[in-house]
Amino acid sequence: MRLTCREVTERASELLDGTLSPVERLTLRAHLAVCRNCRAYLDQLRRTVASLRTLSEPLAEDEAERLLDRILPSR
Amino acid sequence: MTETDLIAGLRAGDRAAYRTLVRLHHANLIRLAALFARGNRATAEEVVQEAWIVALTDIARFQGASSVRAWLGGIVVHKAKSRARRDGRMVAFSELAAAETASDEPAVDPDRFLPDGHWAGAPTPWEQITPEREAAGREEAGALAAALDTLPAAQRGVVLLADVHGMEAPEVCAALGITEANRRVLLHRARARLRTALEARNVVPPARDRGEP
Repeated sequence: MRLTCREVTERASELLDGTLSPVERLTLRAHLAVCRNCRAYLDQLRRTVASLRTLSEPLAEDEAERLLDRILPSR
Repeated sequence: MTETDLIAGLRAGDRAAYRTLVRLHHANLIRLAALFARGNRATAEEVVQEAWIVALTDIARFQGASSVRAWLGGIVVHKAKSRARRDGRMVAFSELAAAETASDEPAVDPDRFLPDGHWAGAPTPWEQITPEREAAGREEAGALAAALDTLPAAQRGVVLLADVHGMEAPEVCAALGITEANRRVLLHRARARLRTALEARNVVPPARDRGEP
């Protein structure tokens, strides 16, 4: 089975998660070995997921303090 | 501060550790609660505040088997669902998932491919984010957060739980009441849309380095 680039982009997310069958994974790896554009796509998808895993929009210090005043038991 | 240091600080009742924790995670937790509250910000704020009280009371029981993100996400999901049930406003994610997966949604615009299915041109190269380019990293996070908020609800739910909060597949399915097959499709589509959003803002990276606006 040979994959087109378009098919690779439809399976890239599952490749990252390791949920493809061994045959699908090997087929995809074989395509990636010879296709620079699909490697670039996969890298971008990987970076997107990595950014999601570390996503944080830090709360301002004073907002955090006000929140703590409401949620911490007074002692 | 590493997560281990942070947890030690929390267990010791160190206010600075509490502050670090809420600063880091509050915005993501509000986003998660809002999903279950049909976008009602006030309800989301109340739910997350209740969840923080539970989390900070129970921190001694946190086993470290999951990440702090997954643990906090789980508490918010539990509180948000109880609240929605009480208000009689449960979100039917299984129905949303069925609707969102009913039609085809290519990961990449079909016009980017030749008729034979190969790339017509290379994907736009992305700006490298290095420690010196920290501002670019913050901008990217901002763009990602904005794009997250525009995703259809079921896609948003799956990507928030799976990627932002790092929950395992069975937990994600249970939280939303969706099937594993739907989870995979929704996660794939959400990530593809977010990659496209980041690609769009990465189109003209070098201009700033030349001092142009």
